[in-house]
Amino acid sequence: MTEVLLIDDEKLVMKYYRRALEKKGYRVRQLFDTDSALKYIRGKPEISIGILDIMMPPGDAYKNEDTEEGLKTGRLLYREFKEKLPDTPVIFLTNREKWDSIAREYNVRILKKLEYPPFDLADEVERIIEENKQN
Amino acid sequence: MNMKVAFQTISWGMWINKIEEVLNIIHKAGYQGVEFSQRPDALGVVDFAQLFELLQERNLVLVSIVGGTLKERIEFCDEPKVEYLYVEHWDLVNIPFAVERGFTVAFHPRMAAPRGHLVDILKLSEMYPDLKFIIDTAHMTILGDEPVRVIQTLAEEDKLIAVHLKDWTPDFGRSKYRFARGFTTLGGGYVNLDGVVKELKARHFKGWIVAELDNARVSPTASVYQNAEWLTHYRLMRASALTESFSEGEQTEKIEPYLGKLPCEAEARFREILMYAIKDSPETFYDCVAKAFSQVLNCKLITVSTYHSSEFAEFITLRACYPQHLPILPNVSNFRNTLSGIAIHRQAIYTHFDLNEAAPGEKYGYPDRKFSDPNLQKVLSLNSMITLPIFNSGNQNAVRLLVNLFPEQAGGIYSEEEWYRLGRAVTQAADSMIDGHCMSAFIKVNRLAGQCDRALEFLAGLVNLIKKVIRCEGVAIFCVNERGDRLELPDRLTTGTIWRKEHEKFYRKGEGITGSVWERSEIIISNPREDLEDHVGKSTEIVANQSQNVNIWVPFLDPKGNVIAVIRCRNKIMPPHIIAPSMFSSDDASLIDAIAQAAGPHIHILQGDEHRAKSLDKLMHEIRTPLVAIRGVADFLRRDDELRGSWKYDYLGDIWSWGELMQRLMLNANWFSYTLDSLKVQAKRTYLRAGIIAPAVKQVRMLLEEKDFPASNIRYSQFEQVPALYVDPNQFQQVMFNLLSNSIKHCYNDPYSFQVEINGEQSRGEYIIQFRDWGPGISHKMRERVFEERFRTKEAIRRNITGQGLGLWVVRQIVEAHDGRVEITQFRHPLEFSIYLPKYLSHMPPKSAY
Repeated sequence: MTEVLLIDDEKLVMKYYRRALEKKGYRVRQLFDTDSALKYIRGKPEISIGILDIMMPPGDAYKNEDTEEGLKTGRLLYREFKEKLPDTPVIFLTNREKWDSIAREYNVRILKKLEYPPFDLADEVERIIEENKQN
Repeated sequence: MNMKVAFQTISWGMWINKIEEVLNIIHKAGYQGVEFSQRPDALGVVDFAQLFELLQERNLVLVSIVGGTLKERIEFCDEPKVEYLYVEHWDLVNIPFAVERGFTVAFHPRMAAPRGHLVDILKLSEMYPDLKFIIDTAHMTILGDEPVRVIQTLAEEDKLIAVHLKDWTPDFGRSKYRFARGFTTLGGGYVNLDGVVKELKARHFKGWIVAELDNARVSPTASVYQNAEWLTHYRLMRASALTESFSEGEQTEKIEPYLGKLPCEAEARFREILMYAIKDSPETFYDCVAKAFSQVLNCKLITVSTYHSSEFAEFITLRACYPQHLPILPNVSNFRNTLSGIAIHRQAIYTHFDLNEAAPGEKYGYPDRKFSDPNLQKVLSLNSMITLPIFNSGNQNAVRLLVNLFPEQAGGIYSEEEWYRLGRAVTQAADSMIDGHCMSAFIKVNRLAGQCDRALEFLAGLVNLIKKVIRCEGVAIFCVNERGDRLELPDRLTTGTIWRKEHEKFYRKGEGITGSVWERSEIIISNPREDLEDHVGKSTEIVANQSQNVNIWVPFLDPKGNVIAVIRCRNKIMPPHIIAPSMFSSDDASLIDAIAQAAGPHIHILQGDEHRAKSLDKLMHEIRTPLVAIRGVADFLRRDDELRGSWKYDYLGDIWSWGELMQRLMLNANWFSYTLDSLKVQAKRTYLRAGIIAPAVKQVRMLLEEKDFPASNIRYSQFEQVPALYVDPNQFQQVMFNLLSNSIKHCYNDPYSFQVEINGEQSRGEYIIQFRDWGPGISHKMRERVFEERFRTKEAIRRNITGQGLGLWVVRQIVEAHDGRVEITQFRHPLEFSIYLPKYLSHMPPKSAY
């Protein structure tokens, strides 16, 4: 079964995204904090896609980094992800606006939760996974 | 209550011509004591006994003598019949000598001199337990130390012997050459004099309160009485019975030197050269000063140097010489060992040294001092040296420049008054020169501010402006962050700065020189010959000549006087024809200070706007979360086949529609807090009817239902003439939503009058979307105004129609971001908006698309 990694600290909201993905037939690994997310990624799991939040509390792992009160945590996780799982697609799913400069700098897709409610996201995830398989 | 109040004689300038008259005026005005700022030999008395007698006759106490060196004053006073003697920072080693002789010594912390801050005063106090302090209210304010707090701290420890009452405005900035011109009469500035007076009264202060101001715009006599009036009003002094009898006839003016034997033609040429020089750059100006002096005296050599003293070092730096290209030392640090040091410390108009004597400084009490450049003396056969300190305008005890003249012959020396006149002309010319450049810098900053919408854009412009105005290789501007606990380089500000530690790209308060400038709010100039040679900074700008390493730091202040940023410049670039070393000077400090003074309020406003935008963004973020949750629930229930049941459908549809409406409203507000990123178009190939108009109509469902307007009254054509276009569907849905919601809001509450028609067609080169509305329409006068941000018609306001006036402004922003345009093509029956989009959107995205 294809695994989707979902990293976001908003538990209540993300449960709908989780259920939609599960309805789609994916197994969802949901992690809510930076430390456990980092640990999991470093284990180089077999996943089909990573969905990260941009803003998260830095946790112990990044407490000495300048994360601008968590605004940069997602980007730090992204770098770790690309290093450990270079062939796995990864996107950001965020509540915030104005991230186009990050999308350009990191060459990553940023989906906004308001524009991608749970089932729309699940459809998009399916499309990305398929596209990646073909490539 | 009457306190001990004295007047300082600096108002009379470098000499007191008629001391009896001066003392009469001070006595009649009601003062109890006198502080003499002049040198002992410039008081017009034979000896101390005569001076003391004159004071006693008028019941006046000799509070202090300021001018000259400490030793000169001790020698003059002979016995400690003076309340205290000033001691300068270079004379501190002589404190034990003075104390042994029974004198009380007092230190006057001041701007542009070492050890000005309270923290420095406290250290001095520990090192010299006998030392007392004179606090000047204006100097402490400029240094950023609140005078009331300083008074409290020192009075608690019984270290405060006198308070100089003085006022100040920041109109001339805080740089060494200009700040003193901001001194004003009491009550005319920003100093917390009310607080100081209250504190002194509360403490029943037993020390001296001294009124002084050396650049008063009135005569010295008027200055005496104006201060007396202020002091009487604040009940620090008893009203003088004779105040009202003060008349113009009783004035004793500042001395106006007679012409003397200075050749008229020579002086005329001197003044002419200076007059033309004031338009030059500072570097070229000093060349002209040297040349000007060559007109009045035949010299083997003339040098012009700037004098600089800081926490780190004291040095004089060559700025110009005449003739040029002679082998002269560019810098003399620790000049206290030299003859020039005597001249600076004496504060005399001029000092003459016979270089053929074994100890040229002996007649001034410094037999061990030598000429700083013995090689030069030998090479040029220099016989004598006349050192002319050029004093600071508005602060005549502060030396600004040093002119050294080495005459061809021993004779032909001018009188003190004549040297004074020449020196004063240089001061005035130097002031005019630097004022002109500062004013020009001011104008450039304001022009730049007018061209910038964003703080980052403005800061980038300032970096380039400073590089050009100051002529240096590297410039960085560190800004205090939002939390107020770090100095950081703004993201994306290009300065060529590299940091030694990747994870510490900031300065804390007091950290390094940059952090110290923030903490102490002072200008610092450094050069490689100082004690900072071992200093390795936390960051540096990459410049062509890495070894040169000369820097200047200047703080930016907001209108309240708080530091909001620190500028750092690296590596001065000197014009090729200038012989002076490549170092930053106090002229550079004045220019950067003027730029900072002009820029500070603009940065404050721009950052304020951006902070508000960020606050709004945070608020929006909070609203988004429940909205996302609502949409999540609704989406889930809507599409989950297991849960769907017809009885749930309407509720779910409602949740969905409210959610959509909320999203559209928030996106309008988001545009209001927009940055450039928000304008970026994420273009997709979109059929307008299905992908934009139909969804937008659904999104206004709740607005329609609220007014009982039938959705069927919104008609849209098949759009056969308009193919799929590369547009941002989300943004264009916003366009349609805004147009529709305006129509609904402004239509009369009559369901039958609500009619909307949306068509698409093409014409030469363009696709046109026509939005027609049979509501009340718009006056033709409003054709452009309605698209302005936050504009609302009177009608809308009168009818209490909801909205922020953002809808049409957002429409225009989005359409223009798609390389299109929107205008009103008919004003009523129907009101028609036409959106024109370029044809190339059918096969490629707009130019600004991401």
